[in-house]
Amino acid sequence: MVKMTRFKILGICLFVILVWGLGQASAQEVMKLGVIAPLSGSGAGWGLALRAGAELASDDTNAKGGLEVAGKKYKIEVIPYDDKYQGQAGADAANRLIFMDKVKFIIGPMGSAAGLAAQEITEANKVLFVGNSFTTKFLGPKKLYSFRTTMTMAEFSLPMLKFLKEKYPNAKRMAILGPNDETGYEVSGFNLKAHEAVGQEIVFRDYFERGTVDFMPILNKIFALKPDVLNLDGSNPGDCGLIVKQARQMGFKGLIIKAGGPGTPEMLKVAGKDFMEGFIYYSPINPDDPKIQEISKKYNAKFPPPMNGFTPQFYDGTLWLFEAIKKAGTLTDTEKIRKTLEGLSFNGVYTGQMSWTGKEDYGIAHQVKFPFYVMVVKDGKEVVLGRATP
Amino acid sequence: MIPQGKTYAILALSIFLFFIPILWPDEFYLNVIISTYLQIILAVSLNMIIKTGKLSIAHAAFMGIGGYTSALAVMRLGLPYLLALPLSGLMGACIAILVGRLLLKLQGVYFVLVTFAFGEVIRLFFVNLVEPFGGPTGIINIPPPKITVFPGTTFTILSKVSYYYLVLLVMLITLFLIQRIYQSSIGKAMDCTRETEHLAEFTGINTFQQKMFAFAAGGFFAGLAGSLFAHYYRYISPESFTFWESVNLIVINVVGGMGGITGPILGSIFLVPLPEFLRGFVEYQRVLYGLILILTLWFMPAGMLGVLNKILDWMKARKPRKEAST
Amino acid sequence: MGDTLLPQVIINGVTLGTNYVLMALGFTMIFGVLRIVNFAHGEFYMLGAFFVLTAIVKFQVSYFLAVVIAVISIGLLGFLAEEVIFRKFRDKELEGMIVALGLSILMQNLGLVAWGPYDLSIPPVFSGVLKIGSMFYPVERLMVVLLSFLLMAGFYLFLKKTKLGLAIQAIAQDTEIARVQGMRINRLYPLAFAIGTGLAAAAGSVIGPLFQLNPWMGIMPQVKAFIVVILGGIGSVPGAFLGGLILGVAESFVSTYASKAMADMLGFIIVIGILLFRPSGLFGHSHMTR
Repeated sequence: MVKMTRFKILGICLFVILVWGLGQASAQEVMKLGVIAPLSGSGAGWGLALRAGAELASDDTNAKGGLEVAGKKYKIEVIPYDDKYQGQAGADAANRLIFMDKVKFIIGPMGSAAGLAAQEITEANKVLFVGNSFTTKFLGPKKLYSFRTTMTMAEFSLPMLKFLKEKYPNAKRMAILGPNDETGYEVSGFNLKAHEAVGQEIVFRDYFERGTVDFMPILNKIFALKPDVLNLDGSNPGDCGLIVKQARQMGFKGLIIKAGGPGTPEMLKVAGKDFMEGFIYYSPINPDDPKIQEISKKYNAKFPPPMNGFTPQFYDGTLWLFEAIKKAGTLTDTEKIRKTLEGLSFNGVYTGQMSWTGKEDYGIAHQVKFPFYVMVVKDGKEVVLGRATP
Repeated sequence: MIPQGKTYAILALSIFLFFIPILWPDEFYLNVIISTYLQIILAVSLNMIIKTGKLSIAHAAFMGIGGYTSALAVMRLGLPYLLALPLSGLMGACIAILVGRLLLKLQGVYFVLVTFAFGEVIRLFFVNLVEPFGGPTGIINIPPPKITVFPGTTFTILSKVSYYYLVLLVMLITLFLIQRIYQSSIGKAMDCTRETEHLAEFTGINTFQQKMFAFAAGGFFAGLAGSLFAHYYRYISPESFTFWESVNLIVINVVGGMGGITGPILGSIFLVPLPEFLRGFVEYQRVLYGLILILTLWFMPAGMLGVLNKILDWMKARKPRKEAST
Repeated sequence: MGDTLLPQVIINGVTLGTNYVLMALGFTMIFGVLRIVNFAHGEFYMLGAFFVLTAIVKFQVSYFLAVVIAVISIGLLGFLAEEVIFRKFRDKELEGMIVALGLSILMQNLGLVAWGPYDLSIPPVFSGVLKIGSMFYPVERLMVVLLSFLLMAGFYLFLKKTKLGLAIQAIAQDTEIARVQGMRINRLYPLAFAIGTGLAAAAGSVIGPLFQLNPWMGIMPQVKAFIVVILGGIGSVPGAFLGGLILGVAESFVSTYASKAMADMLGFIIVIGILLFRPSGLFGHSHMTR
């Protein structure tokens, strides 16, 4: 008899939870913008950058009265959820955004797993998904509502390496070192092709487990092969800083480049300006641009510093989406919005002229391209070495 | 064997559960409930292993084994889902038997540590082998289960409502089977193995066999859960099966209480939806999680089940009933 | 491959290894004496590094002083943790382990709230690179090794030569008899825990300037501590020492001659191998059933 009451209590609890939960109504009248990004754990740095970009863009738009759609102005409300850089958490976040918060637009995610998992839901529900999932599989002819507003190695590797080849024609032997997650593997593929296309020889390629701090053993192995250039691939800024520092401590005199994501200020902190001298990398923005100082200030007012280079990119990506919504004149017809977005080029505030490409590589032109900077570190400062166009 | 009243209660509850998607077809809540059911399958099967005195932090790895097996079975071998599902369970069980031979000889904390190492090796396995596991990117576009009941009628389990029923069915079968095991002589032998191992041996119980059985059965159900997981999210990758996921299952058992299957069920119901309710406190979510864990062990060492039992005992003591209580 | 490679590999391995040893010592102490699997050990390591950072950056303290402050503060924290939190679970291994886990999650995420998600760094203390033949050895690494050895020696002397140290060894061997002999368990247990966490904090402080700091920096060292302690034998100090060095050198070799990916798996394979074929590790006691 005791067991019976036990089960009854269980049933009642379940009932209560369900009814209570369903009682939550969602508000109307504002336009909701979902954000899926890693907000805890080791991806949190970039996740924060993404969230900050979306929120700052929304703040600025709201400051001007809101987003104007079909004659009416809407206040933008950003709803960020943590995807923990994981597939299932990404899908859960998408579920919640779409079915509970009823959003139609999501900025994010950063990671591939979260992106691919969430896509199963966003595509099925025609929700616009604008983000940075690095994997090539994120874009495809059947994925009509997913767009990528950051460039991956597929886009900037080749132009960057071509640029380098002109400046340093003697750099022939390449070593590539990347993290053993999806950014590492996918990115490596493109770097490989690009290197070969400009006639460079890959003498070494390996991956390390995230969380590694001591790279000397593997650098030891790399340097025995006498490369001219060390390419840091998709490693995150902290790891890159360590690799640069340790490589220089070991006496490596060759070029160190990074055909990967942003993070040079963090690297400078870790490696120090002496070791970072001559480091060459890809940057979507010019950090000396006074506008960057502006957004940095706004960022510091709201989030823990320093601002990561991804933030201005996501800012522009978010504004691009807003522009498409405005032009399409609807908040609910995502089919129309997506077609509008596809046909729209955008002059980013920080990023320059952004347009769509990708038909060849992905089967659908949902990949952004824009002219970028090849930067070099001189005396602790980030200096523009040149510009390249994909 | 089972008192009449209880059978009716369980039936009533089961029927209630069948009606949930009809009464509340909200996609978001169905998602939470499906996740909860999956965790229940995992937590209860882990409970079986714990019942023999072994704490395994490799349970999520077996889930992963099941998930990848199922995805590959359907996508590469073209097997129908009705075959892939039990196959995933079998794969989990087989690997459990293979490694259990060696691992289960270790006592106490050593077993914990070796399962930790084993779990990591499995994960690294999935991460480093791009063929056939997809490496860190995992496997995408896993097809939804297609179930052919009679020739000619094929159900594609795509919507959340239909998936709910699939998971509910598997969960109920799992709970039924495990409860039967617990109430049989095997269940009692398991308890003996945990509590007084030498004495158990004296009375003729082959404790190693008990542990092996529990470990293999646990691996089986974890494999099933993995298959359901893979075809629900239609995407799997190695970071869904890490040490943290295994730890989570242990937390569910501890917080819920480890006596019987009710404990992990309560634990799952409490802990799975919890992050959803904590979403507002983005940064503090995990802090609260850690705090809840410590506080639970501090104030409710027997878990929620313990608290529930105390409440029920208190209620019984206050109102003596006319009916005979068991 | 060249003769410059091998000595560099060994030096790299030893450097790696001393780091592992410090972590393992604290961990094995806590387990040997208190029978607690301290899942939060990595977080005390992390706090050590962050305390040093805060002391230097906020309070303009010199590096060495900062290390001392960090070690003592975190030792105190450990003392309190045992008194307040773990005392209740003294005879319950399983619950104690899970409480440690909860503490680990709590500390990691409090760290995240306190210091943010970005990698921070301690301003470098030693600069310069030694060149011996064609080998390169950064001075700061040398200092880490030296400091670590100093700490290890200090710890060893403490254990073997001081009354307190011998008392701790006694309760590790047999708590009941120790109690009967009049030792104050209630004093010694928290003290042992404090020393263990102090060692972890020391490891973090010493390594801090070399690498970057973030709230989850303790996860890897924790895992390595597990591996070393199993390799060397739980509760064994010489085991932790040898185990740490062996793991460090082995990883260095495998990274260099095979691949980094293999090296990462190496630790776990070693653990499984040891536990299956020589579960007591190199120096520990047998823990098999039949």
